[in-house]
Amino acid sequence: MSLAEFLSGLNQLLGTGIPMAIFSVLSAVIVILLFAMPVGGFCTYLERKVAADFQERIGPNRVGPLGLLQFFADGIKMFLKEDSISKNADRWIYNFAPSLVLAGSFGAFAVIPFSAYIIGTDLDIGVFYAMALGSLVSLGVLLGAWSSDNKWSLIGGMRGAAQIVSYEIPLGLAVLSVITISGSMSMHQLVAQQAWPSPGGVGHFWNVFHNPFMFVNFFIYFTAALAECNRTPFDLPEAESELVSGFNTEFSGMRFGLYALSEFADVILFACIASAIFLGGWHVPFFDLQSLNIGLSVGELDLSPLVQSVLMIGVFLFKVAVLVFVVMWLRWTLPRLRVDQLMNLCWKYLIPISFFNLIGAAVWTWAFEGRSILQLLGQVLGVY
Amino acid sequence: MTLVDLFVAFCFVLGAVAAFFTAFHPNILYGAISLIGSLVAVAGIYGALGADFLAAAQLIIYVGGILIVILFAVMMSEDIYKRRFFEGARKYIFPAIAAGVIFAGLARITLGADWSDVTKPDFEPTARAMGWALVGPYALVFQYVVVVLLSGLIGAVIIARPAVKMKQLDEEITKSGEE
Amino acid sequence: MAGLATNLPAYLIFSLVLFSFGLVAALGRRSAIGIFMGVELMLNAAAVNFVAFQVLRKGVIANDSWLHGHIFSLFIIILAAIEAAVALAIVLRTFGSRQTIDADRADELRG
Repeated sequence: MSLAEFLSGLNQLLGTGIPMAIFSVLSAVIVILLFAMPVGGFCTYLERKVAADFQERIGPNRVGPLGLLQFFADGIKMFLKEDSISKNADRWIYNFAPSLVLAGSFGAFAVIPFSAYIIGTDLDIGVFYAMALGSLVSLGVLLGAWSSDNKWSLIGGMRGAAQIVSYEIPLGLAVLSVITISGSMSMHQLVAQQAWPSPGGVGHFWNVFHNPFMFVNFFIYFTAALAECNRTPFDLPEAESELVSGFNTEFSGMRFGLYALSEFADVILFACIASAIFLGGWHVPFFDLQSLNIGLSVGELDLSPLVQSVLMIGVFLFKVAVLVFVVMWLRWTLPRLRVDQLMNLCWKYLIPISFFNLIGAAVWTWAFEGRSILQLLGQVLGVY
Repeated sequence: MTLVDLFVAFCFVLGAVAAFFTAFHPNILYGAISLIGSLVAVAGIYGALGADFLAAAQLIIYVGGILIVILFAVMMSEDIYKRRFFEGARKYIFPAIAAGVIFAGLARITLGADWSDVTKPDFEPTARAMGWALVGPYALVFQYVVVVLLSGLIGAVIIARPAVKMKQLDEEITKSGEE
Repeated sequence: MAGLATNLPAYLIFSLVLFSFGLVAALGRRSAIGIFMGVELMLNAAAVNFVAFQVLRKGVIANDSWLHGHIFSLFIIILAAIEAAVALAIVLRTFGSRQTIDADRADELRG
């Protein structure tokens, strides 16, 4: 008897839906604790190693082999720190703000298509839902900064909230152009349509190569996502040399740990969405993973979806890892933008360009009936 | 009593409690923050009613946009340095009586009506249908709203600009006329 | 509590509760932003009402397949957004020079 059957039996026995509710909440908590937290923690270790590599030093190498257990040590250290709050800090908001950022970052993992068969929930408004939760992050930053009773935190927080809200626009427009050419907001559909064109006429290749407007939109999306996560060159809200770590100055111990982990989870989330809607998700060029048939089976259970899933997850996570590496690479390469340069970039450059790209993508879709450049080339050459 | 019922009950309670604090809490910043709870509860209600697109739109626009504007307005006012925006309780008697009367009257009408022809909803995704409606029956209204948005944006920018004295404006105009 | 999710009067009472609290906030709050928060609550209450009727009593008023209630609520949300921008501009302009957002103090015609 499976767990779901047991719980529904319990539901009927008790005549109420509370066991199922408890199970749903617990499973969400466990997914976060077992997946998102370790991955976020691992990213902190990875960032330090990558930074060390760029700066020609070694980085953490004492705790565990190659320093791999460093984030465990960091976590234990954070838990053991004294929980000090300044006298005039607003206690309720101080405790509440990190959970808003946490909810915004982690909640959107429910719609990420890790493989064709593994997705948290295939919402019809998948991408839109992920963006909706991303807007909770700006609230968390602003409230955290306000409650710290620190003028510089407040400045950092207001800049951070203004930055996040401003860059949501080019982000949304880039995503909107993808929705325009794909005709669906569901993450599974968006990925499934990016298969390599086959004689059966399935979809088009990766969205980033669909038409020149998509290509530019990918970079606009990437830039806007950098700004959404407060990563360099847009990390003015947590500017280390100007605002003494900005809006999270007064947060120490695990509260700061929540902010840091949520920021990494945000980076991973945007990398996941970018690789899903622009870079083809779990698709590999020249080969359709869903047609892979191993021929193994256990009893009457066909094992090939399992093997396909494992390969698909591997491909997807590889693309995500490349994007996250580029994000970290940018951090240690580019200088920080000033706040007026930042706002200039968004309102005067990114928004007009992304509007133009949206119109261009829409006109392309209408003119060529949704076919990509590769499909058109194939038709011209008579191959496709 | 299913999971959805529990979720709807939770949203009702959260929305009502948050609205209570928005109306009555002396500190206006806490009022704005409990407005977050109220708006998130309304987004949950939309989700429970199957209006998925509307729930996400509520979160993006209301919570991620309007609330930020409200919080900025509260934080940018000069009262910020006093750190407390307390308001007297004496002023709530009349509004409370008025609201109570309206609530009682309308609740009586609502509960007394005949709701036996409530249809059972079949939940379908709404985004596509809403898109077709916006370019279908509601195309003209959509264009009206676009014009209102444009005029509102321009108006807000003009209103929020720092005040320019009339004499200075006159000088500028004369100078540019001479060039 | 059973069947609460399809219980139309429950949604209407909830929207009434939101509306009443919004009315209290709009009438009783002293600061301009407080009044605006009350107005937002009232708009939300109306929007919930529309969607509840559309989902749970469809086909009684408009017997077609269009989502009238959803579209109406979407327009409410959009117009509330632009109203918030204009409200912030007005608050900044009116009260920027007065050092306070107390609506009771805005009692002179010239300023």
